[in-house]
Amino acid sequence: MTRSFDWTIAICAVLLSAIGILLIYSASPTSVLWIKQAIYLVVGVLLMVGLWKIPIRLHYSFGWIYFVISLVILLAPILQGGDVKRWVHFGFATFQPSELAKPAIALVLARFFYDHKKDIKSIKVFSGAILITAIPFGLVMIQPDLGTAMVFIAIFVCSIYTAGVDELTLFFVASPLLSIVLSFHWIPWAVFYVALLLILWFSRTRLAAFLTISIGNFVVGVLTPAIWRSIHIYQKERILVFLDPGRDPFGTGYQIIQSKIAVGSGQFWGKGFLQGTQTKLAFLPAKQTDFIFAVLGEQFGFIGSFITLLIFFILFFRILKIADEARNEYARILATGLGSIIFFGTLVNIGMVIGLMPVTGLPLPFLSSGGSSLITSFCILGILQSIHSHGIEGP
Amino acid sequence: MKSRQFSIRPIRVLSVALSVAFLILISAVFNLQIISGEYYYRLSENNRIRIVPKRAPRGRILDRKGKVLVDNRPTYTISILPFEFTKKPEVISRLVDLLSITPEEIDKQLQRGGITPYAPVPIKRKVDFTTVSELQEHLLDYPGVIYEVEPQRVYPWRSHAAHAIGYIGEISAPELRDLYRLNYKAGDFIGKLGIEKSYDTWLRGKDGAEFFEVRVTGEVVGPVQGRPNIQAISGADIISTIDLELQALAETLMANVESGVFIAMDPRNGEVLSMVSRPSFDLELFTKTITDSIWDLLNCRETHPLLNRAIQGTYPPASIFKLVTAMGAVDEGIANEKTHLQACHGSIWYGDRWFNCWNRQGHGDINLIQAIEQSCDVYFYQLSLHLGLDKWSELASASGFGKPTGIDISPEAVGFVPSRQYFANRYGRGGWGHGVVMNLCIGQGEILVTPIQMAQYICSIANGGTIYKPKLVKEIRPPMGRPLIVENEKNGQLPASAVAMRIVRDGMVQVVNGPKGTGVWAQLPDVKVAGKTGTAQNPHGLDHAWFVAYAPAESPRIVVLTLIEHGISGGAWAPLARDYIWYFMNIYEPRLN
Repeated sequence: MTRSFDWTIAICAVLLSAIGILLIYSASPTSVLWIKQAIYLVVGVLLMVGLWKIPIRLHYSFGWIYFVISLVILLAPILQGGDVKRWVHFGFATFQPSELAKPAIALVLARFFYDHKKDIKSIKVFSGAILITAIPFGLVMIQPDLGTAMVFIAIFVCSIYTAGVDELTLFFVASPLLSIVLSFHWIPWAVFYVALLLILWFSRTRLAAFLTISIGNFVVGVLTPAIWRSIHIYQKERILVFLDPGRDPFGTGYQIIQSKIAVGSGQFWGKGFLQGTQTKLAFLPAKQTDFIFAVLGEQFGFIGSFITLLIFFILFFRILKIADEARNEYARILATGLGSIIFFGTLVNIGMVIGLMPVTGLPLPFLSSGGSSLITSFCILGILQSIHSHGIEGP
Repeated sequence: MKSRQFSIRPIRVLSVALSVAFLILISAVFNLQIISGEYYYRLSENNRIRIVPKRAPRGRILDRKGKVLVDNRPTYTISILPFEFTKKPEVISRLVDLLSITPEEIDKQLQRGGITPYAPVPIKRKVDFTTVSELQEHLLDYPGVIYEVEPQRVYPWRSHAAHAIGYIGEISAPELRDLYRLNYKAGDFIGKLGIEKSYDTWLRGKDGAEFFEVRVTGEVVGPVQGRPNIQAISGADIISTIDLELQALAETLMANVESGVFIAMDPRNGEVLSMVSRPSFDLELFTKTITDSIWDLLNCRETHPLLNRAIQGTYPPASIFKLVTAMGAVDEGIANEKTHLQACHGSIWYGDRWFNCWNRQGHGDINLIQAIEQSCDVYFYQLSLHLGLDKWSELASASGFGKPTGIDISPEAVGFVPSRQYFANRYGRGGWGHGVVMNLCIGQGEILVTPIQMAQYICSIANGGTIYKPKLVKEIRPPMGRPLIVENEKNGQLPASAVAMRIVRDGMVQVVNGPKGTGVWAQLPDVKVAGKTGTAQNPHGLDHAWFVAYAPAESPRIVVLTLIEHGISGGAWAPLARDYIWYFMNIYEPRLN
């Protein structure tokens, strides 16, 4: 039994891309960026249809090859040198390898978890999966591209969670990070630590894991404030600016102020197509790429933002539905892993534009100007289409 | 086919999580566009946000007792905010009148500031108060023009320790390329030399910012909602090891020297108490606009006043290097204080030619200590033949020569210690003979050292063998938090036994106090001074004169080095070191307690 093409996600994606092209045109009507974007859209749709026809069995067998290719293309810009290491230059075009690496990580993790389905909770499988994620993670951190690195973590978490690792285990793995965050003051940290010990006790965790987690969290919780106290005010300031660019108003902080003004000034109905004053002037750098949502907010107001968010929302739920309906484990894990790339990118980008999250430089899927991101997003949808129609067979 | 083999839970949880995230996004957008929408609309259409930097005062540089070597004073700068500034001819002409500059200069400055378009671009620095009050009274006639208070450097002691302290200037494009990751921006001031350069990240502090809502006309409406001002964090004070009083003394002693170096160090920890490099320059020059003629003078090819000769000048060490040879000879069992070699008759025949002693009368039949005292070349020629090139270059490197000392200012020259490999490459196998090692062992020939390497070496002899890394900074005092003490660091241990050390130190005492010593001009009545002279052959002119000394000889607390370019004879300049040591022992130290 095969199901047909999923028209809903295809229509949502094309609608979002069309909105994107409109906004790119209005952000810089004199440039050819919007024409390029339209061409990328056509290429993207063709690739999606092509991938729909490819059985996911093939992706399964190519799992490790995708991984090796993604490592090679992530290394290429580092070896090429230059100031900004995010691009690879060919004779005819440039592309961002980090975009292509995202689905590759989802593909290899899905295969890895499927192959080790039986002992998914063992330390060996766990550390293997962490290693697979850590290598590309390290390569993009060198660039440095914190946004993409965070996407890799999102893929990891969504895939391993779908593969059957329970929330409690994930919580234990993430607990040292929580310890770092909470250790700014001893009371919240102490409350957290006691709670952690209680959870550990009542969940009847094995002794080795119990000791590792409790001692690990204790060390992190005690060391973090000690390290923080021992570093000097200027180093602290550098870390704080990284987390909160608003502290550096002459750097990225200024973009946040301006993009909030742009979005906010749209009010309910927006200023109208091509009527944006903020986004048309040079007030907002990167307006057609990372800050495209500000153009939307200014010109189409709350109503435009709401409709766009709604289309995203429908798209997300269709993706989760595809995952839910997949009749085999590999397809399920792959679908959520691939989906997390689009979920996470959307949430973090919009969160950044409206000042809820740090500036990480992630594009808004389907809307931001740029071929690498748009084409990769359509490829992801293509694989999801393939899962939708062939998911039942499995590898 | 509807039976499920696996849990539906993860997908459900993900759906819920996504829904929650979406609700948060929607309500944040709602808040921005509907609740605060009118406010932001006003900001986007009529009013602007103006960000004015609050310049962080640069940290001061203090001497070891806390006396101010470098300070700040507030000055007024007239700046243009590129986004608010309209290039109307009447505004430009008013500015031209007010600041007495040309419209071209305004254009030039505006273009330079293009990297961060929202930051104010300084048009004229150090304007007087009447100009500022004129601007303040007619603000609306100058839309987009503001004045800022910028702290500016003051160097009350002008040229004292100029090379060690250094100066600051606007950041250059290559510097910015290297440093933009550390939050440096175009237009920032950055240390260009000395302590100002190497401790720049501590000294500079972090600028704050003030946010204003401003009407198109230039009127300030008030602070910006949800944007508290950011406080400036001033830079850390740097406590130098330099002592202002002793530095002033050294500057006076060196006042008549055209080009040369004076270094005084504490041999017990490597702290530099005084550092003079002549010719020097007035640091206050760099607080004004430097005219082309002054710039030409500062970069003069012959005198090169900006060059810190103490760490960048390289010279043959001359007879001072006999100390290295002597220590090696003792430890290799070649000689000790009783050893008499072939007597000196003013020269010695080796291979196919005569090797001359500096004293053509000859020194007669002498032992090692007397050889150091009288700096007899013939005695050391003979030692060198036993010691050999390999051992010599090993000892020279282990004593800290041929590599940077790592003193905390830069750039430092490394000097040169030739090895067998070097001669083989240079002259080919067999193209050179033992003659080279004979010259090297008396500190002539290819070997080159910097004065700071030599001072480091003499300190290690004085303290019994520990090579302390020279340092110019004792302590860093940030505005908040604990002060940071700069620890003493070691560059290893002198490769010498206690016996070798004692013989060399006895020799150095004799140099100053012995009947035939070459440094008798450094004698003091109540303090036993030890020293060594050196006269470096200079193919380009008169010989350079070295003199090193430490005191008191029994337990040294001060090391002094002088290098006088074209000074002809080291012994003749010994009084400089003597006067410094006398002042240190009899006036400076008693006042400390």
